Amino acid sequence: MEQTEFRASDSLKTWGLLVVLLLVGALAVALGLPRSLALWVIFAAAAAQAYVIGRYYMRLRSEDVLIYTLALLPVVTVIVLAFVLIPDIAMHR
Amino acid sequence: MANSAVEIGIAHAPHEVPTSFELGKLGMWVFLAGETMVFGGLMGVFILEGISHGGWGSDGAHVNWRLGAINTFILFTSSLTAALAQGAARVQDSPRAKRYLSATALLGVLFLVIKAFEYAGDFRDGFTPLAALFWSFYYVMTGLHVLHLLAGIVVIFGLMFMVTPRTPAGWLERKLKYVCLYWYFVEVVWVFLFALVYLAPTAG
Repeated sequence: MEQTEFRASDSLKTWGLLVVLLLVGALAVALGLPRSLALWVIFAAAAAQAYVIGRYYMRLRSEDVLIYTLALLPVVTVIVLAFVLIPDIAMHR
Repeated sequence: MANSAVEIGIAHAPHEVPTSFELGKLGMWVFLAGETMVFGGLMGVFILEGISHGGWGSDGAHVNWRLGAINTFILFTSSLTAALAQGAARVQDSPRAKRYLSATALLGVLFLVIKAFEYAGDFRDGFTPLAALFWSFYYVMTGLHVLHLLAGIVVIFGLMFMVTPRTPAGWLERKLKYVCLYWYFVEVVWVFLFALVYLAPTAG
């Protein structure tokens, strides 16, 4: 499971993809896109970068369900907690 | 199976297949899950506070996103060299793995130097941690990330000095698996910090 074959060219491709996604996010600011559109582009690019790093560098593509659970559980928990806090923080000003 | 791996088999019935995994890897993922809660909690409150203030306004517009982009590029490159170090360690080429590892650590140091330069500029312009709520979040979140990166650099340098010609084959590969996992995690954290603290406040 863990012993997937290593190829340097794959790492280079992953790096190239990350750099392209970085440019996408930075261009959204540099080109002065409308704020709502720019935010969508920025966070979509960030989510894509995290996915690429997780899948190819952290090798989540070849992990079992236990590791996936450990990786996703805190993310889901944080999102749920943030929604729970919305009435207290975001709407009581 | 590797020395550090432990096979855990629970075979109560003939159809059940024993599961095997490395305890070290499991431990590292549990640790990273805790770290995700720390950074995720901070980012969540940062977003909610931003919403409640109707955005970060002029405070957020002062961050230097270009330096942030350069640092992101540096971290991406450091992860590439870390992956190449893992590849070299997998084929038992320790000298090459050490060269890639030193490149990884030096890129991490370069990131810290640029961050220090950025902090100095912010302080010079009066944007201290007490200047506004945005800057308090900025320094806490990026400062915590800097500490994590610093820890990664120390561990990588330590690992390099521990590898000698008499180091058993496979030892470096196993250690690198955990160290690189941590390094990639720190990179993922930075990706979201860059989007949240640098790009989003200056967009539009």
